[in-house]
Amino acid sequence: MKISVQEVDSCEEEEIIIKCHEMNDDIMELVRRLKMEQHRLTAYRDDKVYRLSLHDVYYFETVDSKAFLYCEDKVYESKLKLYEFEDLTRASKFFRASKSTIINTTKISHVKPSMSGRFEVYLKNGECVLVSRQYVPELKKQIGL
Amino acid sequence: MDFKELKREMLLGFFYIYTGSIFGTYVFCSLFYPDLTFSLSYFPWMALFSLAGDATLLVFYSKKVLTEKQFLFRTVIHFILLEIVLMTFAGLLQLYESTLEAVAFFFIVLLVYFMVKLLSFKSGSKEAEVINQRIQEINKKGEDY
Repeated sequence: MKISVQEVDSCEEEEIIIKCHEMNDDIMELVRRLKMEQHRLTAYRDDKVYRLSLHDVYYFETVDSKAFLYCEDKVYESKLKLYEFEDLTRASKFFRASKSTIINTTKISHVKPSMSGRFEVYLKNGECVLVSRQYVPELKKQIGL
Repeated sequence: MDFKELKREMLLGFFYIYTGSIFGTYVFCSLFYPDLTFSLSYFPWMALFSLAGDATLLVFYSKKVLTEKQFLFRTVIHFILLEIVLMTFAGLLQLYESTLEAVAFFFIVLLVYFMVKLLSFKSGSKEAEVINQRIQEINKKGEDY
């Protein structure tokens, strides 16, 4: 595969063009990752401002009118509302897991049923998030079931 | 459990309780009153019976997501309330007369309650297995998908 980069004038819009023989899963995956990188989120931690990639977010949660972005081992505060984050991640691999949580399906390790009739979703960083039964179809849709 | 989810659970719960109660009555009467016959009015009374039992699900209503411990505690309260409601109704309808019959009725309700929880957990386990298989397939392709 040939990779070429062309510098353009600042008046021209930046663009990525992928030339391929067919739109296969690998190409779709590349497009998805590029789209995710475009969406950088502003997050706050210890009075500092950070720009996070959606790819790094494990899950988004609202607690007592505050919103938090959970990454592998750090938690950031976000000014986004739940519905705003949901809109932002609509075309990507995030799903609404409960009234206050949106999970990145690419960060899921495995799931287990709980005695309460809900599902325990274990993430790759060891964290566990509870998902109501009513949101499980959404998870299944995201992973292609 | 929020109101939307509670409404769904109560509707499903009503049908589970109604069919469970019909089956429980069949087992109970087969053991103690094998020659007993029922009039048609038994079925609407049983529906009212089930509705009263179903109303006990309101104990699970919560604006916030419940932790597993909180859910377990509310499950115990729910079971106690359910037994009180069902035994009161059964006593009024003279479905049992002696202490032995009352104890048998108590254990039949306990058995039905346990079976409903077990079936729900088993159904969740099967669903989790399918989801985990798919997640494993996806993770084998690479870190993300």
